[in-house]
Amino acid sequence: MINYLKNIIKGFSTILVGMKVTFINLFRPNVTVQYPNVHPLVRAGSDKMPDNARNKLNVIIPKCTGCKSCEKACPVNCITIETTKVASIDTEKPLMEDGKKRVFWLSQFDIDFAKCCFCGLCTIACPTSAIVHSTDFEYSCYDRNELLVHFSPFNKEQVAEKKRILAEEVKQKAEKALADKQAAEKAAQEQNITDSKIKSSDDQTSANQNIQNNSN
Amino acid sequence: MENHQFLFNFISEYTGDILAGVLIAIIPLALLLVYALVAIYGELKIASFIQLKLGPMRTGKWGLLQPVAEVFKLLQKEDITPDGADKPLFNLAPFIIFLGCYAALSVLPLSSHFAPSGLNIGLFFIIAISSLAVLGIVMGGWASNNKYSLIGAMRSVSQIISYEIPAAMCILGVASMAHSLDMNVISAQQQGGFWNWYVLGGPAGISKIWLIPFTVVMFIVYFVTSLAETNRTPFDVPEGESELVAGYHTEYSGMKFAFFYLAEYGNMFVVSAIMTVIFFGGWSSPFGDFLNSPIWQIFWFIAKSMFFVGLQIWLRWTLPRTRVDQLMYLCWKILLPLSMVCFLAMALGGMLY
Amino acid sequence: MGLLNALDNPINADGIILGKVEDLFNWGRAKSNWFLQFGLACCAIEFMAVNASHFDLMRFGNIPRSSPRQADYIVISGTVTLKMAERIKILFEQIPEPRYAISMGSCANSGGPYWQHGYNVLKGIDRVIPIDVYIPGCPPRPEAFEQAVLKLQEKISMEEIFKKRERVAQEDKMLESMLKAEENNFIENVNKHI
Ligand code: SF4
Ligand code: SF4
Ligand code: SF4
Repeated sequence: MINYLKNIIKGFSTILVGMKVTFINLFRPNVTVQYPNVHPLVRAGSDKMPDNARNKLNVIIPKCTGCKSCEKACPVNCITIETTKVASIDTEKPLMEDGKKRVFWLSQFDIDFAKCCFCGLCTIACPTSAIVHSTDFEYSCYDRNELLVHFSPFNKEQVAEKKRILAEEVKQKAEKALADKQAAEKAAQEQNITDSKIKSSDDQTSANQNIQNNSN
Repeated sequence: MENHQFLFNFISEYTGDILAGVLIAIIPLALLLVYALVAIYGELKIASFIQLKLGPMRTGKWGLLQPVAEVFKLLQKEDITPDGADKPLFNLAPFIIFLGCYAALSVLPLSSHFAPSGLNIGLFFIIAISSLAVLGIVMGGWASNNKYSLIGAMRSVSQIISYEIPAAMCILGVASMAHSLDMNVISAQQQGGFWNWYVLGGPAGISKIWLIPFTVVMFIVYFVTSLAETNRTPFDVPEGESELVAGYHTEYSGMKFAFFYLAEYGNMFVVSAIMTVIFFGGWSSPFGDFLNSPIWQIFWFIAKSMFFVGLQIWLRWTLPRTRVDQLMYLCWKILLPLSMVCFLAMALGGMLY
Repeated sequence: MGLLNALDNPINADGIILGKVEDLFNWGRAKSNWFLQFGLACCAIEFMAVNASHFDLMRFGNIPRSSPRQADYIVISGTVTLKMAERIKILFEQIPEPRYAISMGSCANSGGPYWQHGYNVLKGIDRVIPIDVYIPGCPPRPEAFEQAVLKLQEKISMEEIFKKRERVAQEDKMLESMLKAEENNFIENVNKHI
């Protein structure tokens, strides 16, 4: 009986304690950050977000050498890179950001943010820090195809043009190589006529030696 | 007591009896609708503040229009009646539940000069009519053809019917002290300051002091049972999200669900109003004759009721949900004996004074 | 007399009365979004964070409902396995119209980390249900989710209720005439061959 009453009183008093806690909380200042009014960057008071903040990736194309390290590092294969060599006959002489000569055009550099898992491995793998996490996270969209972002500075025609220039150069080179080769062959033939007698006697001695080795 | 007819007489002088009756019937409905908007907003905000967050902020200033937006939203939602449902019962259930709380409003004396209907067995009427909610719940749960609805309805019915016994004990106790079932009379008896309220032993002078612990315990018992009768946390096992999707209204959508919502908040108001009348002096001012004119009485009545609605909301966001067996244990083994003992004491008080 | 004309023809594109009613209804739907309490994988953890005090999704009028019948939109928060896809479809179909869906995270968008080798993962929830807003991220930041909710509200408030009927009727007419023309062509062809 006493236990029963004790139980009741205990239950009642614990409820009162709980109500006191919630009542105090009712008047404590709230902790909410009102997002559209207060941007997280403003709240942080800087233009930086934590590493791995899961923001959109940004590719700084002038820095990118086209080495494809990021493509290999990506665990989900959501980066697609296609490079085109810069032709030496190209009138445009592109430079990297640090002043070196550019070797590859980035004819295609796509990141599919619908697949990317924002792990940041590509940013570590990149030798020139061309691919970085930005602070932009507000890019949800109504159509999934908008999440496939093309970073390449070229459109299709420009890419075709660059490819044509490269093909031309390759063709010129091939022609030149062919011409060189023919010239070389001609020279070699003249040489061959004078050397042929010595060569044939050498051949015979070596053949004799071979037969002896086999019988042994 | 003819003065509760004041408003009716006043209106019928201009419009005739029938129109006056309709107008008087509309007043509680309007009150209920406005109150529901306020209560929903209050619930959202209190819940948010207790959790140290802000609640609706972007619908009008401070989110004040949030309940209005919800009404417009619910109006447009598709009204689904499941294929396997028992259609007439399914469609009728929300209205029956709503009817229960609306009819209960009809006998509440808002002021000494106005009660929509001055029934002299008001308390009895309320006990009887609030059982209609059980009917609506079991209809909705059964007709939905959904096992979660059915289990929710069964739990709800067992809970409400069990808790009706201690609740009736509380009301009986006060009725035996007041020698009346007329809510207007009970309110009138408690005039003259909060010292005369039945929660503090009633209007019997200093000798009633031995009665105070019993009446206070009786009030607590009634408060707990009222929580259970309106299916509010901590007794909302019929709607337990973790076990039954949304209890008996799982299958309801759009406007029909809005009626369930409205009825829940309406029932909260009704039980709070009963609590106000039988324990806290109804429309009478807590300071004697100070601010006790018929207009101010409406203010006192609504303020007191809203206080208890706020208390219910506060409790909802404090306590976790009980188990079903704990619920029944609380009712049959704690509340019922307590209310019996207190009832005996109060009946004795009723005989003495 | 632009105003009077507009009043004369309330159904028309610049009808004032129905335009206002439409705005009001859209406002109601946009500002009161009840979401289904439903989480799938790791993104659901972030979804809980959005609902908690620091980010407080309720500021936008979003209240959790546990029954799909009372919800307005569903958040696909996480990896959708093929087995779960059927359930999601059922859940989505149980939400009464007008209903919306948000795809949260890479997994729901396109299979995410499992898009190549996940034999059991659905490669994009939009193969099963129509999605209104896609949120990129793995998981998305809570702020990104809030931005998506704002975007959804924007989309809802731009929707057409009354003009839609007209437009749909016009499209129906066009479709009908096209069908008729095709039918005639067919009959002509048949006649020729006979
Ligand atoms: S962040 Fe990770 S998943 Fe995304 S592109 Fe970089 S390596 Fe690939
Ligand atoms: S690793 Fe860096 S430099 Fe190499 S292709 Fe990728 S972005 Fe460009
Ligand atoms: S998108 Fe990333 S965080 Fe979200 S469910 Fe998939 S793996 Fe988990």
